[in-house]
Amino acid sequence: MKKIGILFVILTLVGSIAVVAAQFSIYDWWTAGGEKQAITTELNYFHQLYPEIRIVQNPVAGGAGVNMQAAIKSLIFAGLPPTTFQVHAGWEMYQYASAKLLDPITNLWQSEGWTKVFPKRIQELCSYNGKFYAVPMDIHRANMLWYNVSIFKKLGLKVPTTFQGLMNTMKKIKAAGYTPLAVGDRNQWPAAMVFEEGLLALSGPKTYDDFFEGKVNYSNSKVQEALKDFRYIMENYTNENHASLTWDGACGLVAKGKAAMTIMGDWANGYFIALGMKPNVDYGAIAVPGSQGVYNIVIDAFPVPVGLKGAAKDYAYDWLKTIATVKGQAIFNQLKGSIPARTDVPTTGFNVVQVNNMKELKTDVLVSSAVHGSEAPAPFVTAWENALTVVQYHPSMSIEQAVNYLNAVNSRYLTPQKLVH
Amino acid sequence: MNKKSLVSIGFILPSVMLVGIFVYAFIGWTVSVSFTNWNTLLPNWSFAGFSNYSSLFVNNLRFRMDLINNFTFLPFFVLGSMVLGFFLASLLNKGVKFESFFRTVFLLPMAISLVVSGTVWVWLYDPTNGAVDAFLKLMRLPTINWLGSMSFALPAIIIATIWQYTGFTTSIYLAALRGIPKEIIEAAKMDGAHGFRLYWNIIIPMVQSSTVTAFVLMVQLSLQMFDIIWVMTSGGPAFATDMPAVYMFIAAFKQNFVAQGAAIAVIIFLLTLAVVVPYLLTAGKITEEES
Repeated sequence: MKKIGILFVILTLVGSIAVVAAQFSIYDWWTAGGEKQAITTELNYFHQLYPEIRIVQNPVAGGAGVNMQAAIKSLIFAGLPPTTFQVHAGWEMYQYASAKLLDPITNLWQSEGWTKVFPKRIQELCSYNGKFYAVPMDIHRANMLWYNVSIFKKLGLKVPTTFQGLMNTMKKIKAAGYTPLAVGDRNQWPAAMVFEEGLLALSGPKTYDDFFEGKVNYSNSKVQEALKDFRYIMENYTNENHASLTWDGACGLVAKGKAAMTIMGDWANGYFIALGMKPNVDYGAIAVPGSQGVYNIVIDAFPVPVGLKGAAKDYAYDWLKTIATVKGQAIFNQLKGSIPARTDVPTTGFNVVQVNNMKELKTDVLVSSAVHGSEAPAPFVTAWENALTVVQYHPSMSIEQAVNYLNAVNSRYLTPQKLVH
Repeated sequence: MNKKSLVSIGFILPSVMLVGIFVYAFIGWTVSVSFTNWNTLLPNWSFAGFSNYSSLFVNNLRFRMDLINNFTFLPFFVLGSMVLGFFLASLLNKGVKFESFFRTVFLLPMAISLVVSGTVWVWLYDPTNGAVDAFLKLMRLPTINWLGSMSFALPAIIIATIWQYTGFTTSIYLAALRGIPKEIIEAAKMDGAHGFRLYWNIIIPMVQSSTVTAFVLMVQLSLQMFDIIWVMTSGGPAFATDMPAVYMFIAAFKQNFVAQGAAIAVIIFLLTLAVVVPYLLTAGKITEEES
């Protein structure tokens, strides 16, 4: 009797381990309006295709993955990687790939024929040292300006076409008693986006790339102009409570008509869609004035961590195949506000902002966002964002002092480097 | 060794082993990591000497601000929560009506997660919709952009943390006050000690061991303050509320500077030791005197 009891306990334990192993565990940071609906829809579709797989979703709040990445790193260090996790293609993915924490999936890319349907630049960002490591789920555009149409109509404003024009527009809006630019920089990165998109608009894609490769610093006149404008905007044109809001809170101010504009990636589109707002009727969207013709991409992708065994690895592959299908890319991106990474997805079901972006992606110059970890390595990005807040909150710092301080941070954390894709 | 001592060793062994592994071995691990070049995602065990420490103390604006903030925060938080806790405990001890209700009210913040209360405080401090500024407006006082200002963000966090932890010090002091024999208070009153004198000469010395306990716990808490800061400001604006524990998290998990993060952890540990060791020495002395 006792032996049977022991056997029972052992079997239960083994059984529970097997149950733990046979599940699909996914980590993402999609918790705000729009993005939350998008991932839920995608997971439902995955469940339809593979009803036998038990899905465990682990959303970790915090835009740009501020909190989720810490959780993932601890899990990987502990040898307990999830089945897959959200990662930005580019440097953020390279850090895992170069440390051999991801399994190359070149075979899958070839057998599924993905090299034919994803744009070349996207393929480069998903690969490292000649091997593929991730599958893109969407393409976001970081250099976008969102505005409240009724405020623009009421004040008789025209949509600006240059960055200087944007500065003048903000001046007029402020004079009319509205907050010109909503920012929610409690997590710092939304403020860094104001600088990043300003830099792109004022200096162009070449200098932008040079800056994040460490070839050019704040002593460059265009970069310095972007820095001056950034400080001026943050001090004079933003909402008073920007330090305690997050990005979606800032979009909320535009939605409610309390602020006229916000600079944010097109996940803001998903936010406005989720509120039931209509593009060009309730809210307008354009490339940040001065950066027309340039597409600052942010790619959400999913990799396969090393150490997955048996069924878990199959599940990860099943997921990657699902998100790479035309339908998988369409249903997710329609809600997320972004556009599919595949170029052969029909435009039906996408809103006018997305259709426009899908068109522009094909002709625009492509750069990638540093704030979102694609353009520069993580140690630099954090130090750079922090340094920007220091000059932002010390208006007494002269421009020379600010430039010296920021250049020192850049040279400490950013060594000139070029990646091998 | 007789059977009895074998049994007692058997009972102690598991906890000694657990503490040994999960406390002392990990402290040792962290210290050794702090002397390596593990400033990448993957471990790099090559010896780095004191370079992770010197990078914190030489030309590092953030760490300097962290120490200044932490040592500004510490006295206000520790004194604030202790004085307020003692005051509330004395009121409760006087036998106010609905005492158990108030006791629960004061202790409740302790039961709330710092993440939750931090979020609520962010709403309260909001300069456009927050209750704090609405109150200031009502009083015809100038409003303050609490969390968005370099000078008010840290005081705002001090107020929030005092609110969170006062219930804890209240309960420590209430237990101590209840432990004072009534005869002593009555005797003192008969000798003419009333009001302030009664507190200063009799009650405060009688609760001294609780004061030491509360003091050490509060100092240790303030040196390791992380959650509420992370939720309310993430250390901003521009490091105005940044603390070593926040920097440790960012360095290790965001920047992949694992060894530098370990070095910060070791510094926090040493600072805590500097408080706890004298405590252990004096606490031993006080209990000896009391017995």
